[in-house]
Amino acid sequence: MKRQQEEFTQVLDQCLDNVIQEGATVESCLQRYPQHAAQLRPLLTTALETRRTLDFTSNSSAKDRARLALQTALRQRNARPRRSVWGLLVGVSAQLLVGPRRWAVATAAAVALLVVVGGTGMVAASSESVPGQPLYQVKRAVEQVRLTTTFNNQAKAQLHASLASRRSQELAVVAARGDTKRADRLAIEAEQQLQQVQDNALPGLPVTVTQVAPGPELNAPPQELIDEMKLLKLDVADKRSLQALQRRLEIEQKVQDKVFQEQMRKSPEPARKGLEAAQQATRQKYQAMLQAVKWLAEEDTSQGDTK
Amino acid sequence: MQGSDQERQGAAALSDLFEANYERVVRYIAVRTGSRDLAEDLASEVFLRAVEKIDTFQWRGIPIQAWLFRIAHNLAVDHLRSNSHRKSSPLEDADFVASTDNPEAEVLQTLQREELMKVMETLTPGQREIVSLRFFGGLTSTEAAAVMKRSNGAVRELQSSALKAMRRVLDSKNQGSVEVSLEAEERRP
Repeated sequence: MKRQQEEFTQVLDQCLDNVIQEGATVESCLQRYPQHAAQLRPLLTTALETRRTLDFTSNSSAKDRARLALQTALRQRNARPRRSVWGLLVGVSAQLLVGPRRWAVATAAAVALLVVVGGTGMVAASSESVPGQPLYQVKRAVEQVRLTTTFNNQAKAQLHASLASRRSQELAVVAARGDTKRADRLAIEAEQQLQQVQDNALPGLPVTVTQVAPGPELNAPPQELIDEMKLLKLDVADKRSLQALQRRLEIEQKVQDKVFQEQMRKSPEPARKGLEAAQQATRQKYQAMLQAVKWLAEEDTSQGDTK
Repeated sequence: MQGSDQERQGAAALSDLFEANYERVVRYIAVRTGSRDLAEDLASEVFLRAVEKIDTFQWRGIPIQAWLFRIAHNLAVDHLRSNSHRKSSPLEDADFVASTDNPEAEVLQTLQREELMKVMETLTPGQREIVSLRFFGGLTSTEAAAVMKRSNGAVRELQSSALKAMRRVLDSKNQGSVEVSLEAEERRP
């Protein structure tokens, strides 16, 4: 009962994203989840009506005034003699970031936006960083901006697949250093990213893919997952997106494996066993996702595919 | 020279944050406070506070939108607390309504807005917050969970219960108006 309730709130959440944020029709969601249609319809129409009725466009002159106030505040801030956030943002050596912690972490978000606009060497340097290193905050902030500026669900799924892989690669590096606390946290984050892959690419699937042990071969996920996935009605466009996602997952898995191998090669014998275990645990979840996506991309689960 | 470049680029970063989120922050505060003019003032204040507080923003997996809306939430709550003595509902402020060229449609729209705002008043604070963040702030449930400091599951549950409660109230109002019109029909000679 509780599981059914959770499943319904997830489906409702997904439909609200589709209808309110992305402009999909209520009917398209109901068709996607026919088993929940009777419950979904009144709630989705309530949400849509609420949004439509109370929506408005803000006054452009108020926005101009707010913009001006912001610019003035920014100018005043920049006029301060020291602890200029911007000095840190654009470029100065990574050593500067080691200074007061609040200084370093403070501007991660602003850095990210700055990077999206202009691109700097600092970002390139940050992409290789791992938790505990100064530029790691920049790396995470850049990721955050990429996520918030990616609106298409399938593109988001691919981005989350890349981020899951990144967390696993970072895990390999910190685990090789014996930092088990950070490694554990990264393993959780990698799994959360894979959950986001599922939420974006396979909405409505009631089973958490990463919690199902993968099948023995790449082409065959376990039967319990196949049974659930058969209920997903995919059209041709979905399949193409899943094929692209599959390629992304395959590439990322190779990269992860390479990073783990590299770390194992460099590590002393006692550390290798721990690394192998870490790799196996993260690889298993990634593999489960890859199997699910690959199976769905190839199998005929809808009439749309036969058009 | 380099310093001025840095300042310019840094300012551009927060300006981008403003351009991407200003409208959403205004809508969110307007629904929380019921006043569009007030929402525009408070939204401006949100970004000024963001400039002040950017040094305290710490990356802990919290999306920057959630951080920004947390500031907006605090400002809206402070305002509502300090104006709690108001007798009339702030949700009925006329300035919430945009003017149109059609007076009749405008009146109808005003009535609809007032009715819906009254329905929202029947929600719990948490339910009202999730509706405001999701449908007007444009946040995902994950981002809303970060603002509300609750789990994703709890927020999804709250969202579902909010919509069900709104639906129930709307249905009972519709039922009531049908009964009233039937009574009026019966009384006709």
